[in-house]
Amino acid sequence: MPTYKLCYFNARGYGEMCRLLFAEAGVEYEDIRYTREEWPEQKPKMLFGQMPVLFVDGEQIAHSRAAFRYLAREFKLDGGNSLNAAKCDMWQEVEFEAISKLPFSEEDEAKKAELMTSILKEQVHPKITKYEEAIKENGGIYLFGDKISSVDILMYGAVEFLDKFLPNEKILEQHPTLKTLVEEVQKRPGISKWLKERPVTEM
Amino acid sequence: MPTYKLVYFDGRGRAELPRMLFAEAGVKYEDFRVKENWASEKPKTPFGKLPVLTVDGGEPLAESGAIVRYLAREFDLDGGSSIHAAQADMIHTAVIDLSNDFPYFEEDKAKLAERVKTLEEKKANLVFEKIEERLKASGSQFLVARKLTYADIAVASFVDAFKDFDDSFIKKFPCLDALQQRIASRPNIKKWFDNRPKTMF
Repeated sequence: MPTYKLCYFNARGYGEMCRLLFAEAGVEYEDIRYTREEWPEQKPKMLFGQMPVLFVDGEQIAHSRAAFRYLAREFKLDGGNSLNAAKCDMWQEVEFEAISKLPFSEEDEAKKAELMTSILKEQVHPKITKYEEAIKENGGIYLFGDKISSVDILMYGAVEFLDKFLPNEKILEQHPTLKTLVEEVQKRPGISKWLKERPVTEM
Repeated sequence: MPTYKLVYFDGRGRAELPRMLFAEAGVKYEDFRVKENWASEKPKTPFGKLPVLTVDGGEPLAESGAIVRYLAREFDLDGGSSIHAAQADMIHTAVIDLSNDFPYFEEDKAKLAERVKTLEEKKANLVFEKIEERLKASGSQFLVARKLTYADIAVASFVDAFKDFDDSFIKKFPCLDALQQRIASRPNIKKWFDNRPKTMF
């Protein structure tokens, strides 16, 4: 087993998806959290000047999604074959795109509210519905039926994020299949342990 | 060998890297280009967007990144080990993130030049510096695993596209400029470049 170190801020943010994979797999790693004050000194050490960065035996894997895909592969959470791994990959890109379109940094409050509503309606909800359809097609709880994969865990993370920052949206009330998925993910031994023990942070 | 069909618009855009992988690997595929019939093709796609890849007529796979990584894996163009695949992934992802910020549709020439300059100063210079350093340090002609991977082809494809916006940019990175030329001269890639449809984008 390689030595793993994940470097990020003291936040869930873009680091949490990797942390959840470590938790599910029950694999140890160093969970480094830099403060804002420490960041300027650390920044030049990170390959592209950003975090999260995953270190594997000292080798840097920058970009949270590249690190996530690597861990999914290592921990056999990528669907069991090449085409399923590509499906995980596709859903991950879809999730990332939908969430990153949400205009959290829009300063004009009226514009923000309007954009938020339209992105949720046109991007987020339809994509969640499609994910639910894919789950139902495979007859189980997870995307690949009874076998959990990285993208189910990612979707859990997305719901956690949306519930925190858009609580009025009540995502799970609108998506019962997703609700079942989220409940199952939360019950997984490694993940439920992590959810209890992880540092509590605003973001 | 499976039957592959790649569906995209009649342009290079987000399908060009998958096409270059097919070319390099010498693998046949249907290069389907949607021209007037987008309205009837769109509902066949999972998310209303292109490119999509179908394998043996199965469920279409969307998202160009997922398609690229899948094909690279199938064609042994991802470095051959898990960690090498991750290194190729991070380089490709870094380059794609830059190209997503390209002001493709900016028509005002002055604004275009300014936006390109901002992109370079804020992101592209650093990313390319690091990739250039990596290539120098590799002691090889290639970015990952001392052999050709999709990371080399992705960087070459990006460099080729960036020339349309600022042809002096790549001169700051002589190793990557040389890499782009080496990739473009590979027999299968050259054959593809010479024979591919000439399109606006």
